[in-house]
Amino acid sequence: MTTRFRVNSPSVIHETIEGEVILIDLKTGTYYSLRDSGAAVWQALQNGAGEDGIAAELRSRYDASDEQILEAVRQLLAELEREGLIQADEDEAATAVPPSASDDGAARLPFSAPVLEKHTDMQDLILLDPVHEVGAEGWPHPAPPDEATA
Amino acid sequence: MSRTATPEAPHVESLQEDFERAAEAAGGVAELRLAVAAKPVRIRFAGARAAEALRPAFAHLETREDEPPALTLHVWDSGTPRAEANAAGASYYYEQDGVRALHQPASDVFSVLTAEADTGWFWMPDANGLPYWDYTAPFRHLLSWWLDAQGLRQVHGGAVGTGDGGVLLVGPGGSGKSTTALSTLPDQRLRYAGDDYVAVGSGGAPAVHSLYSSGKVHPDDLHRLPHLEPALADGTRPDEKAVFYVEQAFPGRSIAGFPLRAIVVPRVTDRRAARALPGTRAEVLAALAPSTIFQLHPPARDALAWMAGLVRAVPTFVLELGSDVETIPPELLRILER
Repeated sequence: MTTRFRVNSPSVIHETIEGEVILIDLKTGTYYSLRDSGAAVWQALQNGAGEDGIAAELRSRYDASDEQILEAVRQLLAELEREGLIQADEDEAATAVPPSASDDGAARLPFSAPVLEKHTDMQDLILLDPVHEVGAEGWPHPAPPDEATA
Repeated sequence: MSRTATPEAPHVESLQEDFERAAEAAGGVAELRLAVAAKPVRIRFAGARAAEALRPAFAHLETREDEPPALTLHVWDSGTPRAEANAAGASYYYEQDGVRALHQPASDVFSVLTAEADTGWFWMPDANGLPYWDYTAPFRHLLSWWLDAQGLRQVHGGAVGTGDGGVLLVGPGGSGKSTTALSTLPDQRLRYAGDDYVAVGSGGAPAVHSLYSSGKVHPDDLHRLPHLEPALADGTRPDEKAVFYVEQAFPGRSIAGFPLRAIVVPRVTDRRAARALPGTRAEVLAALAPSTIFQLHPPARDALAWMAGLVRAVPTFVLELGSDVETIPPELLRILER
């Protein structure tokens, strides 16, 4: 049994389009993209696979050693966790997800380690014009500074 | 975001009383009738001064029809300059029982919309003292909330085209949306639907609905768009973008909307001539979604999935912009002919 991960909802939203994943962190204004092997990791994670299941999924698609793939998966999962996009779901055991591609090696693609592309150009917008709900003293008075920086 | 004790709902009755008092003091209500996304919208200004300040961006949507409005906005000011001390800080969004309210400290304006999304109030300190972007895109949040209720969405993008169809121009600020949109004004074949915010409907065939016939350009880029010089709105400060009201300066060149034929991401390059290339749907979604989502209050969680659906529905392009802006309109027309 390996740990299952889940997306940090509701602050993180994501969409997969033509095999590429776009992720947006609504709290920080940072957005990310994942392609190729990174998108495959994301898809397996979405299907409930843990670290081992995700690695198995990648092994069925890509031509690389078990160690190389497991290390790449671990690194990406750690980065996704560090960026606050996913978190380990201790209550949920990972489901055994059958790899989607054939396992005979004939159709495997050359492997490159997944890359999480990070874009911070929206952060200025958030810093310039953050949005807060109103504080205890009621509308239309802004919340006190400690709340305003929440 | 902080969620603390529940504040009291804005008292819409007292807002209405404030508006009526202001209207009486300002010599009566000046009414603007618009067709926004083909729906009747009535804007009631307290006095002619507020109306004159905020109506130019809507000139292309004005109508004489007297249908019962789908939305009525009440707009007034206090004739007092906004407090500079409030010029920075967080916007405050509030929602209770469907009533939505937003205070934006940069302009000190308040926007309130009823749960039924049919009546709104917009208060500002001084109708003649707003930041320039409030004149190019007045009541943007009120219209955005109202559009949601109509099954439409406000997106961060420009749009140009013909009655048969047009393109949505997407990307963050500075990516070339305005230059692309405003470059089409000398071309008799294309019409202008906006350079920054438009409404999009995706039910059935996707369509663009114009909200504002305004445009704005950074002063450093003005020399590339010489046809705009005579149209420059008065009073631009050196630290602000130059503002244009397209319907006033180029009568008949604006359009209320068109079927959406393609989504285009402009990209500034060191080429001479503009060139349209196929764009991946992922890069187009990345150009459209974050900047749209972070300009809406509150950021709409379901907007990403909705925009992904829109991006899947039409062809997508990257438009490499060159130093010669006259080559942009023919490239846009080529996209529309495909």
